[in-house]
Amino acid sequence: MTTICASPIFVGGYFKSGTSLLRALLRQHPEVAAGLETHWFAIDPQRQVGRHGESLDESIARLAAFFQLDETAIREATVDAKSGEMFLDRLMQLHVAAQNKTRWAEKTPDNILYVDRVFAHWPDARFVHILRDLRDVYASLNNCGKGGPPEVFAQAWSDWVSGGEAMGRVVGPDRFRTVLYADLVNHPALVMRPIAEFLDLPWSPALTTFEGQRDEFDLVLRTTGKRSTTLESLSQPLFTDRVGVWKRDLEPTLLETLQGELEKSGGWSTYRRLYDAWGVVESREAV
Amino acid sequence: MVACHGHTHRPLGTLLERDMDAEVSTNLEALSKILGARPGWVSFPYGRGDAIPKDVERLCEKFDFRVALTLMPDWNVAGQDPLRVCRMTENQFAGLLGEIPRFTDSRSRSVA
Repeated sequence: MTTICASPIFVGGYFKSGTSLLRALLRQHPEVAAGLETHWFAIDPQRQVGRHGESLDESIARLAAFFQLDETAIREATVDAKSGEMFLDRLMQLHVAAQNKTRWAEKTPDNILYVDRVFAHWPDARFVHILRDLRDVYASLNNCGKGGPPEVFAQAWSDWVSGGEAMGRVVGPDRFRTVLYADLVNHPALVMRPIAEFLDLPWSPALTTFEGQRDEFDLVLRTTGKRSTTLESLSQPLFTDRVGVWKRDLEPTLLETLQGELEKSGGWSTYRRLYDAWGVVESREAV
Repeated sequence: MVACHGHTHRPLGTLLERDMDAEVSTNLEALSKILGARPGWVSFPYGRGDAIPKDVERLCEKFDFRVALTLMPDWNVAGQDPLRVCRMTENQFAGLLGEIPRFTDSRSRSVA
């Protein structure tokens, strides 16, 4: 079986950074199939290991439901897959065909940790990293009980983003781009036009018009019994009120602690550097 | 025209109100000493998205700014909000040439 799409699209970034929104926009493009998270990097077909803590069989059953594909068809298509990469290739061939599209996009936040694996297997892939104000990230995680201690968050954010961006510099700007969440929700056209060019996609207004998607929230609820807060928020039209939530949601003492930990971990300086480098407007040249 | 641009080039909208105000007042103080007059315009560093304060009106009222410049690459139309003026670079202007309004367009437009 050959790779149907030599230039797949990967989306990654820290949790609660807007990766789902970006995937949802891409999914609206007439040429892009972009289903739910696969966690392909955790799958090891040779050892019958599926995504975190699951057997391969369990993962296939889950993915069949998520992608609305036939479970047997996935098993047959992936029977000779020797790695997570090969497994993903086969799965996405089925997905692309079922959706009658020509390209596929995979979004799992952790993709940012596997930029090296992505480009080792798919040298012509395109990777989009989405970056959100890390105080907003922490506030959003906190709001759903997943914030954890500020020092742990600060170190994890720094490790994920610095590592991903370092790999991104290695593969170069023709294959790796970063977009800012605040820019995306405030100025979708300004962000998505250059991203469409970067991805070699013909322009489609569908990339900037988002009226909300409820189908995946319902699908995950039906399949797993879990109410995904991320997918629930995607059922609403594009909104900007999640920008700057830290000002409202973080207590001053917690904010101070967080800020200190972000300075210590290097996360804050990384964020500032990326904010300067990847803004949608040519801010560095402008006064 | 000399405008206030914050004092350390930080995206004002991403700061707490007290820090935002300090950035502006420090810069105004410095510029006033040099110029002998107080600038009545502000130009937001980075000028986009979360860098533009959500409470532009409060900030401008507090510091008596009549005009606020963003870096949003778009035309300014008659009746444009003076606290959210757009601008474009030559490159952006060239990219928008296809979208120049026709003479039949009743609205007058200008590039800030």
